[in-house]
This record gives sequence, C-alpha cells and structure tokens, in this order.
Amino acid sequence: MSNQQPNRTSELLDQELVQKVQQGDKSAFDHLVRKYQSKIISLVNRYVKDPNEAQDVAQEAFIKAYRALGNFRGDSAFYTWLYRIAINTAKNYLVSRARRYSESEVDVTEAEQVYNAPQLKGMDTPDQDLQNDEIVKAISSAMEKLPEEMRNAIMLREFEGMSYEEIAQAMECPVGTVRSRIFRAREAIDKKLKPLLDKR
Amino acid sequence: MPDKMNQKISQFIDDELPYEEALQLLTEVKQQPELDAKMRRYEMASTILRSHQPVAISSDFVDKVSQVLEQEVVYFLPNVRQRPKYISSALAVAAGVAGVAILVANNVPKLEKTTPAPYVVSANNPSQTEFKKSQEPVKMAVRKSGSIDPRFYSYLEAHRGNLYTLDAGVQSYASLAGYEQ
Repeated sequence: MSNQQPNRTSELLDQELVQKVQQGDKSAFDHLVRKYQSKIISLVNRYVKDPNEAQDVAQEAFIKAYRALGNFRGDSAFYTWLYRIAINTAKNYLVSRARRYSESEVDVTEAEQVYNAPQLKGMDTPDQDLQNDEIVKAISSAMEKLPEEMRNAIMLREFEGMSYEEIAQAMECPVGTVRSRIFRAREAIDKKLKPLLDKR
Repeated sequence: MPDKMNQKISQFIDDELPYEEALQLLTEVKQQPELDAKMRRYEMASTILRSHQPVAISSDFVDKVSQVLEQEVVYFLPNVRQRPKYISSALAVAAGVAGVAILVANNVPKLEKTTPAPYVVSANNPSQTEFKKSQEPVKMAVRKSGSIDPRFYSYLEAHRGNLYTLDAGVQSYASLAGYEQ
C-alpha cells in the first residue's frame, strides 16, 4: 500500500487519456502532465536539487514521454512507464552536466555517483531555504491546530497511504466523513500556505 | 470558488475520484487558473507532509510543455487494443466455419445440377423431353451470369453449342448472334 502508486481508478483515467493522445489529441496530454507534474517534479528533485533545473528536466521527461507514447502499449501502468523515463532523464541530465563541468567522459551508469557528489546537492539559495523552512513550519503549525479527527484522517492518508475505505474502517466512520475530514484538513493547511506562496 | 470543486480536487489527488469525474475535473482545472493553483497547493502540502521538502511547481509548467508539443508532428497511429486471446480464437473458428459454409454453398449445388447435363444432351438420339432437360443448366448459367466474369461467360456462350448441342442439329447461340441470324 503506497500513495505513490496510482490505484485502479487512476489507471483507467490514464488509459483513456493515453488512448486519446495516441489518436492525435494533444490536449489529453496536458491532462496527464497536470495530473503527474507534482509527482514527477518531486521525483526529479531527488536527483536534481536546483528547483528550476528540476522543472526543466521534468519538462524534458514529459516531452520524451509524449514522443515515445506511440510505442506505449499499456503493458505497465502509465505512471510506472513515465516514472522510468523521468529517472533516466534526470540521470542523463546529471551525466551531461558533469561532463560540462569536468569535460571528461562519464558513463551513464555513473549517474548515481554524480548525484551523490556534494557540489551538486543543496543548490537552493539561502533565500529559498528560508522560504522553504517557513512553508514547512506553517504546514506543521496548521497540522497541530487541526481537530483530532481531521488530523488523524489526513495523517492516515498522507503518512500511511491508506485509501478512504481503509481510513473509514480504521476510524469507524463512513467513507463520506473521511472524504470531508481530509478535505477540510487540506483547506485549513491551504489557508496558511497560500499567503506564503503569494509572497514568492 | 465552490467547496464542491475543491473537495473533488482533494479526492483527485488521493486517487479517490471516479475517472469520469476526474476527466471532467481536469478539463475544468485547465480552464480555471484558480482551480489549477488550488490543485498545485494541495499537492505541495501533500508532498511537504510526506517529505518535509517543498517542491515548487511553476504555474505555467503545463503550458510550457504544451507549447513545446505544439511544434511536434502528430505521428501516432490509432491505438489498436489487443483483444484477449479467447476472442481471437473464437473469431478464427467463426471465420473458418463461415469459409467452409461458403465453399459448400457455392460448390456442392453446382456440381449436382451441372454435371449430369452434358451426358444427357450428348446422347445420339435426344428426345424432346431430354432436350428440355438439357436447357436447365444453360438457364441457370444465364441467371447467374451477373456473378461470372463477362469474358468467361462470353467464352462459354460461344462454345456451348459444342458442348450441349452436339449432333442435335441446333446452331449455337453465339453462332446465330454472330451472324445476325
């Protein structure tokens, strides 16, 4: 059980969108980008620490995915396939960047070593670090102020990756109540988060 | 902004929204920047809760990808969904049965009706009754002429005298027509 893996409903949506793209509907690909942008940028961010570069690499990964979509036959879930493309794109990016720095030949398999190189980590500026800390603190504070049932519901969802059905069983309440509690928890967090992001 | 839409966004990022509604939601998010921003903030909060690491997503990320793809040539073929094997097998069996049925329907009746005729007509002293019988295959050929290649049909017409009226003292239709008799 993991909230990183899309469930069956999500896969059905992906199948429909992929099919539309394969039939020439480019706008359907926008939906796939919107759906997975956060996950893919987060993933790339593990390799490429600079937020702007991470977004560029994620963008490149989506473009590569679009170009390869004609060959995608649905043997694996779309997200799994996209995930692999994003990882490879990030690794290749690090290798090519290392080449630019060192002007020496680096094998693709050395990407992990390149990733571990200290000079490529912690690319955020001090201002960005400060803003990030501020955001993390604001969200932690909002979580602490949530009523217990809301906090429990969102924690089971975000930390344990449980489905609404599973949370409903754990909390002995209807699924609709879980849905509502998680939504209201998110709204409470969003009230703290929005002003900070608007300042950026 | 109605809470209903925000709640759907919350369900969507948890993969708990039915896919028909999810597709509709994505269309609305694409059209309404406020909903798009809300979705990105919900996702950011979700990421921070799990990893304590904020991930910034620029508001024009989707647009940037879309702009690049605008230049791309659409070269995809229509997606052909692979049928389950049992359907393919059933179709193959059905096609085989249909093929056999067509062959039987076309060949067996022809053999039964056409093969006896020459023997009957080529008798040295054909009676009136026998001659009438001999006309049957010719009539059938005329009735079915639409399905026969015209050149082949002409050939049969030109030579039917040899086949059907041998020693009967009757001129072939082709001979009569050819000399406008």
